[in-house]
Formats: sequence, structure tokens, C-alpha cells
Amino acid sequence: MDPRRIDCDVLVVGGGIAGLMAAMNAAEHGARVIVAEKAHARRSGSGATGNDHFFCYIPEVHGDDMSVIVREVLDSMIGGFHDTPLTVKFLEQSFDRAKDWDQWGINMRPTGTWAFIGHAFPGRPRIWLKYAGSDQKEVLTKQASKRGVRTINFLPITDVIVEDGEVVGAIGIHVRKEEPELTLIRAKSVVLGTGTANRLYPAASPGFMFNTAFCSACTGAAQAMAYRAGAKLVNMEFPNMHAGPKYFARAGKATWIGVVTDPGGRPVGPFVEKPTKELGDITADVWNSLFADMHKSGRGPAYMDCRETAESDLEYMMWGMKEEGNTALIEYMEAANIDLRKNRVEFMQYTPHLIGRGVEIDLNGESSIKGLYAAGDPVGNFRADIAGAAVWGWIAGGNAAIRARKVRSVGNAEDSPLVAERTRQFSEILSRKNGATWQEANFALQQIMSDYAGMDVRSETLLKAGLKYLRDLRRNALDTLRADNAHTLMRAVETLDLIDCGEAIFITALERRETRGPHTRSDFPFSNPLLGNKFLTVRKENGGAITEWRDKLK
Amino acid sequence: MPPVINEATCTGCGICAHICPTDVFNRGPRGAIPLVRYPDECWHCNACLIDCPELQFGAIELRIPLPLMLLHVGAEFDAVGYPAPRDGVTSTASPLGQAQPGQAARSATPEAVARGDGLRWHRLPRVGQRRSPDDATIPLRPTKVNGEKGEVHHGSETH
Ligand SMILES: Cc1cc2nc3c(=O)[nH]c(=O)nc-3n(C[C@H](O)[C@H](O)[C@H](O)COP(=O)(O)OP(=O)(O)OC[C@H]3O[C@@H](n4cnc5c(N)ncnc54)[C@H](O)[C@@H]3O)c2cc1C
Ligand code: SF4
Ligand code: SF4
Repeated sequence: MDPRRIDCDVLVVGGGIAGLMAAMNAAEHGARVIVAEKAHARRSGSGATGNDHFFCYIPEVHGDDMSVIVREVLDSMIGGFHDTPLTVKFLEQSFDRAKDWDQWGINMRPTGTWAFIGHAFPGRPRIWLKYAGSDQKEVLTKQASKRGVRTINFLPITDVIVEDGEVVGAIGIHVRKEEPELTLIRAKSVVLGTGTANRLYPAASPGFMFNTAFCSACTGAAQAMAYRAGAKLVNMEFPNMHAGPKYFARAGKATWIGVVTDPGGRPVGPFVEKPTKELGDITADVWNSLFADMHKSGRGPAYMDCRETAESDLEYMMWGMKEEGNTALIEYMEAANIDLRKNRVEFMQYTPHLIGRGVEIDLNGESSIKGLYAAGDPVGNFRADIAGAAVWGWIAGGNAAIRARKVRSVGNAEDSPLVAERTRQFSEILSRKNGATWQEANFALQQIMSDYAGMDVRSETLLKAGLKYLRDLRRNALDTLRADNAHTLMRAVETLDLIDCGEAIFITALERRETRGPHTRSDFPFSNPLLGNKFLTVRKENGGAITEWRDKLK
Repeated sequence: MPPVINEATCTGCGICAHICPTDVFNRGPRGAIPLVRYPDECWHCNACLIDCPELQFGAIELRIPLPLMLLHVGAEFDAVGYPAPRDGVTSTASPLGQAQPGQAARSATPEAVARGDGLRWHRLPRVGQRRSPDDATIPLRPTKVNGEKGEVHHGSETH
């Protein structure tokens, strides 16, 4: 494998929502920008077929006192993992991005006005703008190319190259054709926007590894690359779990307008009895493990119950599902004669994935490595899904371009020993005649993650054993993985990335000696008030991992 | 498995194979009918159907595997919380379209598909053709048509 070379000012890794927004703003700052996208940016990532709620602060709707909305965010399920200054900066710019999207042709006002509908507690301010995003990626990719952004599709990035604490480039494998092509990109700044980490824990149904709520091609590349490069990851010890239809993993629970009911049809939570589009049932947002708890206690199953929902609200809900990209679900229900006026659909809690757990960024969107930025789902100290990706992608891209202007020449990425090492590793994987498939390695990882760093129980002895097994798995995988073409090599590399994410989870879960939220330590079954306002970071130095505590920024 | 291509109506335009987020298809030479090469890696996102220019002629469909079937209950389950005596099963899932007693089959017949019944949520609306469930109460702003239906932008590729 002899690498192909490309030069640019700003390399954006991932052509998802954050990546495209970063690329556009970098281009507007005059940078030569390349987006390296693993799939095809027009339909890649978790926003591929749409979204319908955009987290946003609009003074004319919410009033001029933004602190009310800041509090609403911090009180919500995602707020506990925020550095508040990032929340504030996000809210300040969120309406500008919504207006951009609106102007570019994404339907941000499907009802004619800026409407905040659903996804809220009774009597509290609403912060989710209802929009119609089914063609958002088509619009964003067009806007990016209009600004001169060059997108290279089918180019998954495997590593960022860092020299003397600064980013100088990246390595990728072009997978468009049957034969993989190693690609070396020299860049002055790199923005990581590779989405969540799926396939780390077992999927919603056994054997169907790609049955995940978020895009199953998003496999923690940003977290893994940043970690290997020495950047800090934060909040990795906290599992994040979504809920949705049982066995058919889909994001977008908030779009359902129904009440969660028990087998006898009684509402499980206190918030609503007759759901409306203004107020769906928010019980499962507050009681995150509702579906698992109901099931384990024997009181389940628990259902999404839309039978009391008015016909017009049901139609509205189906339209919302279409706009958020859940058309496969709609079609399935139609084919299977599932009529939500009569039928209740069982829900479940899915296994954890990494969203809002990962790269620590500062107010510029920069990581602890100079020139290395991150935005969207793989950021560890902020999270607001689609809007978070849009706003922080934009911020990170602008700052990446400003930095690139100050760096005089691109460094010599090709001289990095990492290039030689990865070339050797990939060639070995490709030339083995016998050996492990990537699926074996991925399933092996999932069983270790769920049994030793799971959601139900964690303890020092279990975590230590799990970390040992995980490292054995990495060694065995490196020694035996085989791939016969570009596609399977890409999957093998994804699996290795996931193993690195797993390592960071084990190390931080060991260090947080308390129970907090979904991080359940049986040997420390209490929350330690001294750790309540502390964030835990992990980074690599000289091959070892270093954990550090710091105060959460107020 | 998941996406199924109908060779009689697929024109081999290659769009599905290019845009799939999880690289399920083999991207062959231009004009070739794509091969569903990695069916186990389908995310069931429907993008390949949404973007297929020949969808109305049934060029591609998505088959949801049995383990992903939606577990649901109907009237026999109400109030008591367990199945009616003679039923004996707790789920009435019927993934491929046999109507349940008391329910009208809404979309599964070929005639219905030809009429477009049951396709109303997503098959038609694309850029420039937005629809809301109730155009009278949810006025949509007019939008421009951005380019040809199903166009893939090879322009920004490196090669
Ligand atoms: C069905 C569904 C409904 C949702 N609804 C909502 C909603 O209503 N509101 C909301 O706020 N959020 C919603 N979300 C979540 C939202 O889509 C994500 O939070 C958002 O897309 C995050 O943007 P991102 O840029 O971080 O990641 P993504 O948009 O997922 O983009 C990541 C990109 O990186 C690419 N990539 C991955 N690895 C590599 C690599 N190694 N090299 C190069 N490229 C790589 C991927 O292919 C992808 O294009 C929903 C998600 C789903 C699945
Ligand atoms: S449904 Fe989505 S993941 Fe599956 S083949 Fe089609 S585009 Fe690919
Ligand atoms: S998009 Fe449709 S017509 Fe084009 S290759 Fe795929 S199935 Fe065939």
C-alpha cells in the first residue's frame, strides 16, 4: 500500500451535520476545505433521512432572558454532562443556524411560524423547534459545494497525525473500489465530526449488529482517533441509552404522541393521560430506564399507547415521523397492519452508545491537541443532537480556518511513524489467508462490554477483569484479523476503533468510584457529593492512560 | 435480505449503491444492477428506496427481517392485560400483511399498492413537493425544486 497524497488547510472528517456545517464556515473564512466522508455525504450519518426537532433559543418566542432556557437545558437529561459556557454559546447562536437552514431551503417553519411543539414538561418552556428535515442532507451538501468545499466520498479516516502536540494531517482508506487505497492528507487543522459510536454494545436483536437506533456506520472514530492522538476524552464512564420500538431500533421517541402504558392500559407516568401534539408523554425522558425496569420487575411489557391520541394529532405524528426519516418504520406498520388507533407497540430500552461522551472541547470547539477540533455527537462536554452538531460544527469550522491561516506551511505528515505502522497493519490484515473476520472481533467486543462494563452492574473486580479481556481481544484481533477487500478492511478498522472507545470506558468507569445516573457501581452504591460537580477525563501519554478530575464549568 | 432489487424494473442507475450510509451494495460499473452484497449490514433507513427514481415501478423494496418485527397488541389484550382465553399468544404481529380480524387490510394488496394507498407518508414528497398531513391547517411555504429527482452529485468527487 503506497499512500496517495492530498493537501488542504482544513480537513473535516465526516460529512454529517456537524462536518458539513464546519466545512461551510471554514470555506467562508477562505480556507481550502476537504470533507472526507466514509459513505456518501448526501445520505450519510444519523441525519441521513431526516430529523424533526431542532434545539433552539429564539428570543422573540422565549423572551429576552436566556437564563430561563439555560436552566431548562441543564435540568434536562443531557444537561448534567454540559460545561455551561458551551451551553450558553450554543444557545446564543442556535437561532442564526436555524435561520440559515431556513433560508437554504430546509423547512424550519412547516407551520408557517417558529413553532416549538412537543418534547416538554407540562407548564415549562419548550426548547425543541419542530421542523421538517427529510431533505436536510441534500440541501446541506449542495450548500457546501456552492461554497467550494471539496467532498471526497467513500474515504473513511483512520487516524489523525500529530507532531509536537499539533495536528499535521490524517490517514484514510479510500473504499470506493474493491481494492482499498491508502490516502494521506496533509492539513493545518482537522475537525472531527464522525457521529456516535454504535456497535459497541449488543444490538436490539441478537445477530443483527446493524440494528441500532443511530447510524450503524458511525463507530466512534472521532473518540478513538482523538484518544490515540493524546487528546482528552470526557464523560466516557456514563452509558447513554435510548428507548424505542422493541427489537426495531429507531431513534426519535419524542416524535411519538402517545402515553406509555402498562399491560392493563394504565399510564405508567404522572404527566399525561390524553396525549396531544403539544404535550406527549415525557415519562421515559425522566425515567430513563422505564422500559427495562418494567420488564425486569415483571410488571411489563410497557407500551407506546396512541389510542387516546386525536386523529389529527396522529396524522401530525406520522408526518413528523416521515420528516425525521422514520419511513421504514411507517411502511412496516402499514404492511403489518399495525394500526396505532387500535394497537399498542411495545418499547424497550436500547443498549448504550456514545453520544455526548467523548472529545473534550473548549469554547473554540478545539480539543486539548492544537489544531484538532470536534463537533456534534462525539463531543463529551456538550450535547444537543442535530442542533448541537449544526451550531458547534459551524463554530469549530470557523476557528479551524482561522488557525489554518496562522500556520505557515503544512507539516510533514508523511514522515510520521504512524503512517508506516498503519500501512504495515492494514497490509497484514489484507494479506492473511486465514484468520478472524471483523464480525468475530465486533461480537467479542460487544459481549465483553455488556458483561463487564454494562448498565446493570459495574464493580472494581468486574471492570478490571473486563479491561484485561478487552486488551487481550485487541491483541488477538491485531494478530489475526483478516479482510479481503476495501469494505471489510473498513469494518475491521471500525472494530479496532470501537475497542479503543471501550478501553476509555473501562478506565474511566474504574476511576469513578460512586454510583451516578446510569453508571452503577455495586461496590460504591451511593453518589459521592464531592464528585457531583466533577468531570473525569482520560488521555493517552507514552502508551499509558491518564485520568484527571476537573470541576465542571459553571 | 433487506433491500431487494427487482431486475425487471431497475435501470442500474446506481443511486442506491452510492448513497447507502452503510455500504450494503456492490457499486459495480455504471449501468449494472447493484448487488445486495452485505445484507446483514443494512440499517433499514430506507434511503435507497427514497432516492430510487424507479421506486414507483417497484425497482427496490425493503424486507424487514423477522427478528425486527414490531411487537404489538390489540383489543384482545385490553383491560385485562393478558391474552384472550383461546388466543394463547401475546403478540399479533403479522409482518407481511394478512389483515387481523376486524381490521381492514389497508395496503398489502397489489391493487392498493398500484393505487398508491398505504404509500401516502413518504413515497411522494420530495424536495419541492412537500406535503403535510393537513394542508389546510399546516400551510407549507412554497419551495423550489432543487435539481433533478434522484440526481447523485458525482461532481464533488475526486475521481
Ligand atoms: C431516526 C433518527 C431521528 C432523529 N431525530 C432527531 C431529532 O428530531 N432531533 C435531534 O436533535 N436529533 C435527532 N436525531 C439525532 C441526530 O440525527 C444526530 O444527533 C445528528 O445527526 C448528529 O450529527 P453529527 O454530525 O454529529 O453526526 P452524523 O450526522 O451522524 O454524521 C457523522 C458522519 O461521519 C461519517 N463518518 C463516520 N466515521 C467516519 C470516518 N472514520 N471517516 C469519515 N467519515 C466518517 C458518517 O458516515 C456520517 O456521515 C435523530 C437520529 C435518528 C437516527
Ligand atoms: S435501507 Fe438504508 S442501510 Fe439499508 S440498504 Fe437501503 S440505504 Fe442502505
Ligand atoms: S436506485 Fe433504483 S433504479 Fe437505480 S440502481 Fe438502485 S434499484 Fe435500480
